[in-house]
Amino acid sequence: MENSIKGLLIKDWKLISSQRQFGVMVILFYLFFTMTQQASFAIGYCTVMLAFFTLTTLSYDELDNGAVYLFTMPIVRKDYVREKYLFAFLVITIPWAAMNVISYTICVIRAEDLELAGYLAGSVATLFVAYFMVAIEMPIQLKYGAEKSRLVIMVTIGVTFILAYILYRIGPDMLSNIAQTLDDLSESGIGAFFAIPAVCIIAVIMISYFISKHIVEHREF
Amino acid sequence: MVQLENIKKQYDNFCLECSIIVPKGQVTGLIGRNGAGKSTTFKAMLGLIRIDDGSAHIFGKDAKDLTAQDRERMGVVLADSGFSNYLTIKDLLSVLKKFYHSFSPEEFIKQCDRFGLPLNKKIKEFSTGMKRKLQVLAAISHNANLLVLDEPTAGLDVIVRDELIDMLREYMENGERSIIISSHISSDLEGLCDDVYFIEQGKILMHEETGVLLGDYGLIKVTEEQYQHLDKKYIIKSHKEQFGYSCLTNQKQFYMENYPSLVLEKGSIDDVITMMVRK
Repeated sequence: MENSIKGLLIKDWKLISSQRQFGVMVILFYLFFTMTQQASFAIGYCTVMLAFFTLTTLSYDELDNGAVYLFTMPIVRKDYVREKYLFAFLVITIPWAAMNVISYTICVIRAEDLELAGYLAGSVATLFVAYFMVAIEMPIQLKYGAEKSRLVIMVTIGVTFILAYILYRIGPDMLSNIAQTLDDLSESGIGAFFAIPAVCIIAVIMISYFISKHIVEHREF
Repeated sequence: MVQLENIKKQYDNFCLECSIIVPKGQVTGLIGRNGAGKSTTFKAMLGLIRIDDGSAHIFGKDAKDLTAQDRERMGVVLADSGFSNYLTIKDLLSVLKKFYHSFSPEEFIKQCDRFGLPLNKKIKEFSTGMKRKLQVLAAISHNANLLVLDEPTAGLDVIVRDELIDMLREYMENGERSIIISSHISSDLEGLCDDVYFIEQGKILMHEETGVLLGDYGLIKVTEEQYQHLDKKYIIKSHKEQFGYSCLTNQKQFYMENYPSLVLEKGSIDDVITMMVRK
């Protein structure tokens, strides 16, 4: 790994470490819902919160015109983008995996009746949602900055809902076909059930990365 | 080290058009008023903005093609930007260590102590002068070949300013390095620079060696009548005053010898700037 990427990872880690209150809040939230036997909800909620949290490093970079100075240091613009995606991946995935291990261990200790496939399906789905959110938000925030991107995100969510509604109104047959396909896949095994969403999310992340790279490489300060 | 050749950058109501050369072993100054185009010139030089025309080369390479290794050979201070305010100097140590192979955390801590910069305080709590000191220390901390310093002494008191200027002189001692520096404090540049460029409204109005500027330039003050009879061959700029005319010359000696009765003041960068920008 390039030294510049390592340096940026350290910088971003130091930046989010300065927000200890957020970390403590996530841990308390997770523990509370795990103790009240709502582990799946806790993991899902915390993972999505972490997805938003990783993007705050972009805002930190933008503050007080800091990004300009960053690009005078030995950082190639492409590496800056790579680091942002890698950082998001690490900050989402490692706590997600840790939460799953802890929750599963607690279930085993409590001797709870746990259907592993169903539990994993829910958990992996939240992980994909978190990745998806980062993939959508990252290029928007790189293009428009933290302030303006909020409006863009709201408009995007609004448009998505409208499209979903139109799809619901005009294409119930198509939706039921998709649901049927997913049902068939889940019956044919957990691996197949996740294969299509996994391929889709990888494709979305790749597209998002190339858009972000294009934005940063053509950006003027 | 640096070669800007007929670079052009057009904004809505500002256009930068300039050529600048920074040779190896020299300190080059860039002087100009606020908004004259100093920071835009630095940004073009560093590849932070795309130029519309001309070429910007550093270490013989196009500025937009600079690699991380090339950038490691540069130390930069920008007038309106810096390290993230939410980090501490202690946080920066490990980051800079990764970015720069020659960075020595021990030496950096020693310099921070010398300039009274606290290691554990967030940078947002630093004064403007402290932030500037930190940037200058970071720029010279990793054995760079080229320093690009945009207003490095802004917000510093006289004593710290002198200390930093001394550090820059020390930095230049090995003869293989170069500095391009902008400052609105002309005394900083007079004592440090080998040559100076004067920029106004995005254009270079003057380029002169500092020795020539201080030795050969002068300000002649003449009455209306004296002005009529004055040989204006070496007058660069003249301006109407209440008493008559102020004239800037780049051949002080000529007027001293041929017009011994005239009031002739020794030139300074400030005088030159004032005369050049007056309409």
